[in-house]
Amino acid sequence: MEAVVSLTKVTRQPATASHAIVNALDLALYPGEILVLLGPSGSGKTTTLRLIAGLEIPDSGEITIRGMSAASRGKSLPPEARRVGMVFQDYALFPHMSVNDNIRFALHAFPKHEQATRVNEALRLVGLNGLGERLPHQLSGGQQQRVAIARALAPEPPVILLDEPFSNLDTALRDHVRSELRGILRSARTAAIIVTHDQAEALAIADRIALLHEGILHQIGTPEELFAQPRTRFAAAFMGQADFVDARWQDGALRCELGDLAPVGALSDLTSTYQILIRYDDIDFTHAESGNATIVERTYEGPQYHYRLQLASGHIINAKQRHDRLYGVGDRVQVNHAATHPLVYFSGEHAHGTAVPLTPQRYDHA
Amino acid sequence: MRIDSLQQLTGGTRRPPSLVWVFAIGVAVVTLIPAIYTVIRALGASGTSVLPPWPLFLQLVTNTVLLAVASAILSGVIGVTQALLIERSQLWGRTVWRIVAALPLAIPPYVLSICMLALLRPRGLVERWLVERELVAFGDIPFAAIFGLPGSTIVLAFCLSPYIYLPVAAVLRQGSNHLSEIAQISGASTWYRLRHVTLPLIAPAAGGGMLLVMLYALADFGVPALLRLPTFSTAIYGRFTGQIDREGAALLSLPLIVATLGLIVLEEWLAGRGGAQINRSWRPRLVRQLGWWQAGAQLLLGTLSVIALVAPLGTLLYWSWLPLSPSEQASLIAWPKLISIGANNIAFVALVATLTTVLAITPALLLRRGGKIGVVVARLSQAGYALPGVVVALSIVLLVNQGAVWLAGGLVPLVLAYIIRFLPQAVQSLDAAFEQIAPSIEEVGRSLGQSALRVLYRIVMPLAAPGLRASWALLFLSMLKELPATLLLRPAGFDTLAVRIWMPASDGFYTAAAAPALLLIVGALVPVALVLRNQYR
Repeated sequence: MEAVVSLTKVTRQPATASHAIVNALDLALYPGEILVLLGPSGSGKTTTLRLIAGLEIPDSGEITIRGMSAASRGKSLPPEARRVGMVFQDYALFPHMSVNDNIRFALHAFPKHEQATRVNEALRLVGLNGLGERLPHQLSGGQQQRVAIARALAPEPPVILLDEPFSNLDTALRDHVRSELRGILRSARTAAIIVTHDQAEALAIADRIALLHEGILHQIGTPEELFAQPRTRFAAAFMGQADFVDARWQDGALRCELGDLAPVGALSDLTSTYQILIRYDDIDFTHAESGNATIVERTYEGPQYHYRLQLASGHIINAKQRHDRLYGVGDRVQVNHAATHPLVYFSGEHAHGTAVPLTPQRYDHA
Repeated sequence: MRIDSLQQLTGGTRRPPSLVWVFAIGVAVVTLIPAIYTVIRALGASGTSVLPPWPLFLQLVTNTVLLAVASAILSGVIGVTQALLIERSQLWGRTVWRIVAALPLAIPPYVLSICMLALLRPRGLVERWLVERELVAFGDIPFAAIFGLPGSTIVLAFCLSPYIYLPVAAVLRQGSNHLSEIAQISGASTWYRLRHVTLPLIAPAAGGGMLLVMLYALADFGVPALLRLPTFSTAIYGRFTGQIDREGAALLSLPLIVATLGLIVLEEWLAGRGGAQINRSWRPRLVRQLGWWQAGAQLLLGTLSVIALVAPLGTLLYWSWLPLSPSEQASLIAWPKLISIGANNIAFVALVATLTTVLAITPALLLRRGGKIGVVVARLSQAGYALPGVVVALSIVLLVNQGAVWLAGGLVPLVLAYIIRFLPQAVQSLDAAFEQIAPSIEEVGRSLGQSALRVLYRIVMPLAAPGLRASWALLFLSMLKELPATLLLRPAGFDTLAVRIWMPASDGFYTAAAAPALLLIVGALVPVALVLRNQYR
């Protein structure tokens, strides 16, 4: 499949910066897909978006849009020539124009008699028909965002870029707007790149996630791949709560404090210590007088409690239990693997392979 | 491989379109040539006989510098006090006081000088009134003290206090400052908070305003001339008209140019050092309860406005009703003729102000979006900052004499002088107006496929319109009040209200100056209203 947008070894380092903001980035966006650029602040994700839009010029590398060169070897196509829609974090609606005129501004290349129809279609797509004559300051935050999206989608660009589209909305609104946005993008069949620092958002909306850190691409893949098979410790920790437990090869199995695991495939080195990635749904615990862990902290979260358990080795791991299974701080518990699927193990920063717990145990609480 | 660095130096992706560059460079060239030419002529002046004798030169320096500094300080005190009382205390009649504090903009300093002279000079209205009631004898009270530095300082300080009041009040209006609240919770007294929190907050705005006052005072001609204080401006004017010593005038211009440049650099440096913290979320102001001090505040503000507004306006109105002696009648102009002069004056100034605003658009755009080269071009167009009115007139006359005869036609030299003199002010305020627009608005316009030029005129200009109007209003006010360049460059038969005020007043016929002065103040009220509307939007 032909990529809609492709970046090859793109680097951007402003004169004032001590290191590259975007460092030799390779990226491709395919038709109709939603790609999320995920990363902490300073990871270069917004700069990458601006490079694709033409609002910044790369220092080296190539950017092609729909097969045509947008930036390469000293030449850069200006933003107005690129046919890329963009939605800014502050929506950037023209305050002196009505909603209709804002959208019409994007349709200047279309024949006049078509413009009115397209404006109405765009408004219908985002669910705002009837609000065409309002001015931006008369709309709520959520409505303003939808106008910004309608305006970007009206000229039917091959790709639309969104910079932190949900950060200005309150939490209650976010889930709703998120699934709406996905629906709108699917209906319009437009490929999209969404920038966010929130991994939960990325997991919910993305077809693929590109994880960026300090200008470098750490991993790109489906949300499931990034969550369950992270390739670096950074990726593992960023995608969700992550704990690491030491494990050593002993008597034919990978042994760790929570139980034994069987490696999938061969272990590269039988003598070193590995770290098993544990998320809280991979383990379970129950009261036990001679257990292997003590509860050191408990936080109420509504449907469940969040517990922090200290193992004999001194390491702290995180676990959750339903709200009706109450444990007290200081209680002695037995904690072990509960996952029946492979868990990733690491050596140093990088993932080396996966291993399956040999005796997973879920406790049947009465 | 680095992208062409010329593109980066001219602003990168925010670079304004080529058309803007062409216009801006054109404007810069036009404003720069007279300035450069004056300096060349000055440096080429031969012989020390052209310079005034050393003691006189020293006196000029002392007077000019002292006038500038003292006016700025007194003006600062007045403006800041007004701003604090009006914006940060529970003052009664706040809306009225806001207008009153800005009104001195409508009164030219030379008009205030005339009124002050009429009232307070020896054998002036006040002394004569006192003597008639046998309260004092002639010569008992040293009225002569108003001449020279004291009187000039007071006049300039009161007339120019809005330059400080307006920006400081704008800062104080932003709302409660977190630092001030924290200080209050920690138990700091009002005076402590004032000194350590509020004053540093307003320092950039007040400092900027005081520098503007200093620039104005350095260049002012009318006030020192009327109040008999020899300064560089009066000396240059004298050489120009009295002895027709053009080279000498050019030479005297050099120190003024240097001083003005120094002040401009200082202003840039101050502006760059981090402005006040603006509180984004609105919170009610931390206002000081006044209690018994309310009376004191009202009295203080009342006194200030009496000096700056009531006294001059009262005097002017009084004169308008006064029966006149035959000699005074001779220098009087009939009302119909005066109104026609006034209407022409206002129309002329409105046109030139519009022209200057339009010309200032392209340099203002380049200032922030044109990269390093853009800044240079924009600053060059502000060369006129360094030339006081008298010097601008001088440089144009020098150029005309050198053969640029086509310039001599009618109103052209005068229009040119106004443009050179006031373009920098326009560029500065337009820049402030453009800065209000978020960069993302322009970026989104371009990402929607419109060229930079179309985004400029369909998005940026409409959004900057309120700021453009306020900038025009300030230009209008400055040009209406302008005196020295108008006196020197106007073609025969062309009169302005300022000239009609000056001519009789400089000969001592103050009453004849009353009617044109009133007319000018009335004409200035509309722009002042525009400025106030922009301030309190």
